[in-house]
Amino acid sequence: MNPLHPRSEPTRWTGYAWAVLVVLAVALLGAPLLGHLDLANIAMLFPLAVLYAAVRLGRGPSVLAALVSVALFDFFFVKPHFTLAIEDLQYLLTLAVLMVVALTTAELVARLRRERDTAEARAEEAARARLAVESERLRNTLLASLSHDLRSPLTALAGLAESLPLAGPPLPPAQAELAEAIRREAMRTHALARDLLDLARLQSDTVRLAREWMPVDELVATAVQAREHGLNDHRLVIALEPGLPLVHVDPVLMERVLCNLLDNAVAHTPVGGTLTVVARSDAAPSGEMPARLTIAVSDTGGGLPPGREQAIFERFVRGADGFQVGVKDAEDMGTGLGLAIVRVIVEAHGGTVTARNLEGGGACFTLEVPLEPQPVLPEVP
Amino acid sequence: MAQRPVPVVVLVEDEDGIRRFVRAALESEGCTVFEAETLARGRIAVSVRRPDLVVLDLGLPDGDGLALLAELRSWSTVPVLVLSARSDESDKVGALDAGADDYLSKPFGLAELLARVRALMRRSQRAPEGETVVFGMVVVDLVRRSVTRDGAEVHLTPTEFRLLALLLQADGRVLTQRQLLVGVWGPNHVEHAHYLRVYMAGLRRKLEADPARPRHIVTESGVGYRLQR
Repeated sequence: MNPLHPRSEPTRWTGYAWAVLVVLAVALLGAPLLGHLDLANIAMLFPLAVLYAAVRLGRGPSVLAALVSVALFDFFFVKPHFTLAIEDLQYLLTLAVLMVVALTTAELVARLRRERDTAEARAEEAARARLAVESERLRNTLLASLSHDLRSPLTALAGLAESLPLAGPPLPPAQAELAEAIRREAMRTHALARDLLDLARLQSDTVRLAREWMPVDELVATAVQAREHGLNDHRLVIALEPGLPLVHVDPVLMERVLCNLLDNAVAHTPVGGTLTVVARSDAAPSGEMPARLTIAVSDTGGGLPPGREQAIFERFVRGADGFQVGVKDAEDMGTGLGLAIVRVIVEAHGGTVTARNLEGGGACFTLEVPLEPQPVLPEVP
Repeated sequence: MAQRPVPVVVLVEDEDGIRRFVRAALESEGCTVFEAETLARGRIAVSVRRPDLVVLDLGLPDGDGLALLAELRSWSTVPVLVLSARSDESDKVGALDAGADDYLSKPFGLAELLARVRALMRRSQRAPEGETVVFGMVVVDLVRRSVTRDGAEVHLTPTEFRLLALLLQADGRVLTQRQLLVGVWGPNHVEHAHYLRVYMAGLRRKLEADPARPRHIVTESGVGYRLQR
């Protein structure tokens, strides 16, 4: 049976039974007319039954209806009556036409049905797509306004706590400490809200990257600069391969990646430890494979819990040593989302990020992003 | 504008808590602060008080702070410090391109706020500089178009020099990518952000003691650049 048959179609056998019944009804209707109407005109009633069967019951029943029509017409209406013999050969033509009409109608209806189904499927798909766009827009608006609405009161909270000493005589040390704790908690709450909302936004399918051509040293420099105050107690080694090509990335997001990796390294490395940022490009062998840029951030801390090297990229997973070791400035740290954000951003760029333990101790996070054909630079130096 | 003995600040911000601590901080610096919690009141305050500094929140209940900024710029060059609560960088860029002098992202600390305020006040007071400007180990002679670092002559290409001159002119203010591209390459090149990136990297290599950790030519992520002395 045609798989594209309508949803309202009766089951197989009832369909055929209905087809036969309809033709019988037409034959009964035609019987009293015999003698009053031309036989050719009575014959024209039968295509109606076939048409009905084609439209309502499907192709199989309509073909059956055509066969039964031909048989009944021949048996009851064509002389000699009550035999399948044909006296006048012109009725062969009538029968043939009846058969052709039945098959053509059935075929036409089946095609119409197919087209209707396709159109409906397309309309449904379009409606679904529209709904997806609509809910995506709603989701982004919601996230943006949530972020905005959380940011203002947290700014007030942190600022008010910080301005307590301005309101009167200097605070006793214990109270100053409390005020500072309030400020720090407000900032931590902000960092958590920011990370959660960013992650929600980044994980939606429609995250749009504002890609620009960036020198790698500027990416690294901007991230280091943003984290400058947190890096004072560690040695920082930056080793960028000279003459690195430009990368085509979303600069704000990529800087976020490097900042999060630096935060993570600082948080897990005791004071006095060394952080290393290395960047190199893997030249393509004869241009077959796209060349990749590799940036690695490594530390001399406690390393990753063995066997959990990839799990740390999941949300809310932290290293075995928690987040206390060496953390000076807790404001931007310890939300447990930093590495999840790193992975989402790097993967959105078509890259990968992996973590491993170094042989001499410490952890190394390596990200790779594809390099693209370089843009044209101005001629005037 | 000549500075009055007590600088006057108009603070346009709808969040009560933020107004309170910003006011406390500014008063501790010896400013007189007038508050406005809506765009409409802000409009009146800036025209009546004739402030030396405007601190302007962008998201106000009765409209966008950018509207007030645009009006203000039609008759005044008073320094404007924008407070932004949106995570998106584009509204900061929009505010700077519309004539804001600097911005702070919420949440911000008191130290950050006061540093920006002091810099803006200082800048509006400062007499135009002579022909040489000094930052770090670098001495720039704007007339002879020569640059030395640590006493040694540094060769800059014409484009690099134009870029440096623009940054020096801005006197510590952030310049957006668009402002820099228009200033150096002209209005037909605002799409070519990578020109700027590449030349800025070159400038850093020539002028910064450690180009990997620049102290003076600073990137404001997603916004633009500023030159810190």
